[in-house]
Amino acid sequence: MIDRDPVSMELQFEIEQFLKREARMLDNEKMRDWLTTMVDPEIRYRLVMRDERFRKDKSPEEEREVMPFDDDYNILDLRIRQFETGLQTMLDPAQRMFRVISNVEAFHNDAQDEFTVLSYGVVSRFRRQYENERSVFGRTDVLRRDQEGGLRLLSRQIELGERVVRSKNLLFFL
Amino acid sequence: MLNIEALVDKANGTQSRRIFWERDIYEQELERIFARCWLFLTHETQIPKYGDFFVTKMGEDEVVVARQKDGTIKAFLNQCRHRGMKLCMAEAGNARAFSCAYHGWAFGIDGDLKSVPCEEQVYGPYFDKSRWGLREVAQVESYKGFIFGCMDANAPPLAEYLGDAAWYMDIWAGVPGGIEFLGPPSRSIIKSNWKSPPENFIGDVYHVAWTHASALKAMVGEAPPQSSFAGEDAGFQVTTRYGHGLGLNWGPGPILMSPSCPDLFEWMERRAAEMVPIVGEKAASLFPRHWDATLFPNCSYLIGTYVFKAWHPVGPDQVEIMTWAFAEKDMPYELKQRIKVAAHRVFGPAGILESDDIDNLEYINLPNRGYVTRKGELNCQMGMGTEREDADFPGVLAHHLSEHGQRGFYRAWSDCMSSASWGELEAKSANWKQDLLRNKRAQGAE
Repeated sequence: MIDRDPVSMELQFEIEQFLKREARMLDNEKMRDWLTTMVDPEIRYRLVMRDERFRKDKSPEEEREVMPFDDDYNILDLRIRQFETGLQTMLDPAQRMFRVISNVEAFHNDAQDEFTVLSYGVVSRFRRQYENERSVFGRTDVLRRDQEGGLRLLSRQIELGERVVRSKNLLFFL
Repeated sequence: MLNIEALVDKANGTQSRRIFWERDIYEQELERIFARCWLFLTHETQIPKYGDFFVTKMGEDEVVVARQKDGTIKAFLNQCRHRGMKLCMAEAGNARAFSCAYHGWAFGIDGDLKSVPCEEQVYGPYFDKSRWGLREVAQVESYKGFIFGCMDANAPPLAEYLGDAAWYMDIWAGVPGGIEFLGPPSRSIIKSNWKSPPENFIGDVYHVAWTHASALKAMVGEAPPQSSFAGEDAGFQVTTRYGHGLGLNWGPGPILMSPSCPDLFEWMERRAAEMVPIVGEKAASLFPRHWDATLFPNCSYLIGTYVFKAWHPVGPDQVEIMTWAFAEKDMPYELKQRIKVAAHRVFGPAGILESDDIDNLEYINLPNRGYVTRKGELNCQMGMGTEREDADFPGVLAHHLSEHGQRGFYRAWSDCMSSASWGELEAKSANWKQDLLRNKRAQGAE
């Protein structure tokens, strides 16, 4: 597990506020604001799925992984530009999303002003009158303090609970 | 008996909405399409070593595809022969045997029943284990590394089933070194009928600039107008005897990979030149272009975007999608890693094009819930009358911006569904080309 020092209560609070602000921004379709104010330009943003194998299977992790997201800043920007075209019929009428974040644990990294943050989340999406979908996920983040003293998301690895996606698509940020 | 002729009007290019919804039609599809046609199972590079296995579906029958000691490949129904429990609970891996979780019957990777707990005590000395091996898929063959299985022992060989579609596959799957699948598939289940996604991939050029306008605009600056796909110089569509088809666009192949794999443009051009002595100049000229294609009934691929998909039916109203990224084996490791990510970025579960498609695929089927809606017919007539033969390209061709490929898909569907056997299906489709071109003349005479 995590062999690092946990952060102080004060830092823990700051980090939890960061995660909640992120969730609120994304729920409110403020993807551009999220990118420019909360994401580090050196971001690596990944959503990883792994095939289900027997416990004794020895194949390297990398060969078992498939990544619906493995994006740097430019690709996140590209995805947000797609939302900004206003041409996605899929998003009209608007869908409503609710991200609930919990089980937050934060630790000091070796680099000063860098923190490893673990969290769980549930995201629900409601659209087209009848649709009600939910995904459960875990995240391992690295946050870094920028020059202005605010926290920025430097890396995020998301693991979905489900192997076979049942929620139509995952075209949103977690 | 179902009246298939009333469900798909081959001459007029229309289909009844009922074929996307009704359970009795679906059950007949499982029998006459999925238990009869050659179905994609996996790629050789997914199970390279002895004991490697991959679990997939043939219709709703789950199968284990396994590499044998002698290098051949067998496939078995994924079920214990004792009380019928699902046998292998992993989706891939390497094994010498599978033990049933219920009572412990153990089957070798060759399908033989190897051991039965307390055998002699409870079944006596004469229990014949050789009678109770795993049920084997009747035919398994591989074409350029792509492994297919067929439940019907009377089906023609795979290469014959692929027919003219094999000529097109040779162009990209026949590269020196061959093709490699990159990692496991991403998987998702959507609420659509299994026919709708392969119909979209076989030749729905019409939707590209409309449905995907947002993705194209974000990627390449401006979405091309739908009309830019019209006209004879935009490309062409192909249909073949057993319903396989493709749409070829003369534009550059890797356009959707351009954000993180811009080097693919040069790679494809260079490879195209190297393919000239292997497949000929005309065939090689297709290599660096963008193609969408479906092999009837339920797998599709995109050339230039490096995506291969299988569409598994889950009842008449759901589809499980398996999506693989693929590369050429000879590509540098680092490029393969970028392709693996970039392919899923456009056509994976969070794909910026896939997501728009899936909303369409679900909402073209949901209205079928309505009894009156379901009695209606669907229009698939675009480009009728543009069918032609071409000295350079096999199959029957038609305009790029047409529904020629889709019509071929439903022609094959109709032929399969109205035939009680492979013999009947072969007889029915023997003159498919003449029938298609004759129908064109009849339409023109109207």
